[in-house]
Amino acid sequence: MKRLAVLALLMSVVLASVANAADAPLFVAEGFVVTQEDVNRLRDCYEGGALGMAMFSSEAEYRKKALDLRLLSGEAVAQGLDEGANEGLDTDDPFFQEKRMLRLSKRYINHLIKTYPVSDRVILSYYRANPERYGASPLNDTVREEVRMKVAVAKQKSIQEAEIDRLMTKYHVQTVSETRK
Amino acid sequence: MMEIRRTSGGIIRTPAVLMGVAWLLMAVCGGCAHKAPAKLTIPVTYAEKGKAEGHFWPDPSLKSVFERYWAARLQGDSDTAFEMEAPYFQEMIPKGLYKNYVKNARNNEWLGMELVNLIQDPAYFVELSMRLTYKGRKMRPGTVFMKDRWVEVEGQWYHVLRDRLIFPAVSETG
Repeated sequence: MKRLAVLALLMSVVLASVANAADAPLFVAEGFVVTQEDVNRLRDCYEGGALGMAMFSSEAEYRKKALDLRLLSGEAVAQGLDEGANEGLDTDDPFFQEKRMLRLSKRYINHLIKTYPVSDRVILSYYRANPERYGASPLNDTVREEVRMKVAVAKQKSIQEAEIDRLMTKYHVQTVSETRK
Repeated sequence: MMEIRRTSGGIIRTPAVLMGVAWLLMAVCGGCAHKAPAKLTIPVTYAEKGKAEGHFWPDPSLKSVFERYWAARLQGDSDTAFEMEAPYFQEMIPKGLYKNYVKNARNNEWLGMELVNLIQDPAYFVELSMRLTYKGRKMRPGTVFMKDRWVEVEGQWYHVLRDRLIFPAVSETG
């Protein structure tokens, strides 16, 4: 009997610590918190194939991805890019929120690419450096937009990282825990 | 695609060979951090008989920029060379990647440059062919044949670097 009581006590301590770990905030920002549970769910989501191929392996990468998703999807909503964001998604899906955030994040990144400004000088240099492709075409709005998109797509990673930095400042993101790596 | 030909062989287009030549070019470019001289220090010759350098270049400023650029590349001065790449290249390619491209091994020696041909078409685009002779460590001298391209933007000539393996985003043609 005494043994059972000790075991029960131990289990309750363990369960409580697990629960606390899951709820533990990793990032605190204005308007939202990213917890360990969010990261665990995201990992389950990727490892189960619900969000496509898993691109991350370390805890740190999953934490960063969880924060990035929250920032980018939140900004998509803030900028009114969430219309029809639930279309085709099953609200009963256990990973509904993660799928929605991923979709909104992609929308926001696409929005950044579509609106990324490229100077006339850069566009002209690309156009002139590729006469095999553009020689017969005047540098009209269609060509300008094609080149602008090429430049923006090539810079997507740096554009995205710069925007995440901006959003981290905007929402005063603070890292709470660096324990699990 | 950049066309590369060894003097002893035919046209080679396989990625492995291109990679090898890209490595070779990176290797011979050296990795020194110091500023390159404004002029090439290796012998430069012209292939076409009777075509002196004054007739080879359509624009004296292009000759000057060409020499400064290749002096920088040969010395591994990636900062100077990067600033002479076309504006779109500077915008699209991270400087760190370019630095690695230029710096790599420095144990090779340029022996000479032969300018073979220059085509200006349209007026703002120049493609010239050249042979570069090198000597690597424990290697006999060899020659690479390459095309070098330049574009004029707002009165200034810029280098056009195409390398489908290292810089695919800026190297499409046609």
